[in-house]
Amino acid sequence: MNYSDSDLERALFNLPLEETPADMRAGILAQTIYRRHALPAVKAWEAWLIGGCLAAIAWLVVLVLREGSAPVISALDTIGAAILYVVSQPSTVLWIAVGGAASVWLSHLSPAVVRSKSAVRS
Amino acid sequence: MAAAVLEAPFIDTATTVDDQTLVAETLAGRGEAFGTLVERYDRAVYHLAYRTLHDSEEARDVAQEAFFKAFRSLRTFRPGAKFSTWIFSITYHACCDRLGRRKRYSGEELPDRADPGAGPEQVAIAGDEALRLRAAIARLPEKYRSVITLYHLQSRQYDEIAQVLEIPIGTVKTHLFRAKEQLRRMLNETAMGAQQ
Repeated sequence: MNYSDSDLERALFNLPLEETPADMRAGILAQTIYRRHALPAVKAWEAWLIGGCLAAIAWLVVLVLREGSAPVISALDTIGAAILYVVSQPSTVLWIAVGGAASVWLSHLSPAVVRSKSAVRS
Repeated sequence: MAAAVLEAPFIDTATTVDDQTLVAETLAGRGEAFGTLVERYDRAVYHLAYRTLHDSEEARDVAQEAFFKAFRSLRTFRPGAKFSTWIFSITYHACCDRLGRRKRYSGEELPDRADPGAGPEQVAIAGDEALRLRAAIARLPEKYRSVITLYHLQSRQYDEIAQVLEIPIGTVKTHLFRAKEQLRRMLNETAMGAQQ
C-alpha cells in the first residue's frame, strides 16, 4: 500500500489513544477532589488581606464612634500627605523604575519564555 | 478512603455539561465536576505524555502531576479558554521538564527518539496498521511527534496546538508537514518491506 495524504489522515484519526494504567484515574482523584482541604475557599494571602481590611474598617468605626469624624479626617490627611511626599521624591521614582525594569528583564529569563524562544528558533 | 468512592462514576454529566461549567462548579466547591473533567481528559493527557516521553511510568506520573497542578491553579484558568488546551499545555511543560532533567542527568544530547519501539521486521510481520503507525510516530523527532500527537488530540486546531507548544502557527504547520512526510515515507518503506 502506498500511503497518500488522506490515507495517513485516516490512519492517524483511527489510531486509538493509549490505554491508561488501571489505577491512574483513582490516583488523580485521590490527589485532588478526595484530598482533605485540597481546594481551600481562600488562599493564605487572601485571608491576610481580608483580615487586614476588616481590622482597618473596625479601627475606623471605633475611632469615629469614640472621637467623632475630625480625628479620622486628620489621620487620613496625614496618611495622604505622607504618601504624596514619598511618591514625589525623585529617588523613590528612580527605585520604582529600577525595580520595574528588573522584573521585566527577569520575566524574559523565565524557563517558559526561554523554551518558547528556542522553539521559535528551531 | 474507600476504593468504591474513588471508582464512583461521573458519567451522568460527562456528555451534557461543557468544560467551562465544570470548572466553575469545581471552583464553587463541587468536586465531582472536576472528576468529570478527569474522566474526559485523563486518557488524552496520558496519551500526550506517553507519546512525548515514551515511558509508561513517567507518563502516568506526568498525567497525575498535570491534573494536580490544574486543580490547584484552577482559579487562574482564564474564562473563555479551552480546558483541553490548558491541561495539554500543563502536561507538555511537565514533559519538557522531565526531558530536560533526563538530558542533565545523562549529560548527553537528547536522542531524537526515546524508544525505538518494534523493529521494521517485527512491525512488517505484525502487519497491523495501528502498530506500524505507532512505531513510525515513535521514530519521529520529538518536535514532530508532539505536533502529530496534538494534531490528533486537538482535532486539527492549529491555533490550539500553537498555544500548547508555545510556537507560532506557521511553525506548527511546517512541523506538521514534515512530520507527515516522514511518517508517509516510513509507512511506505514498511509496507514495501512487508511485500518483499
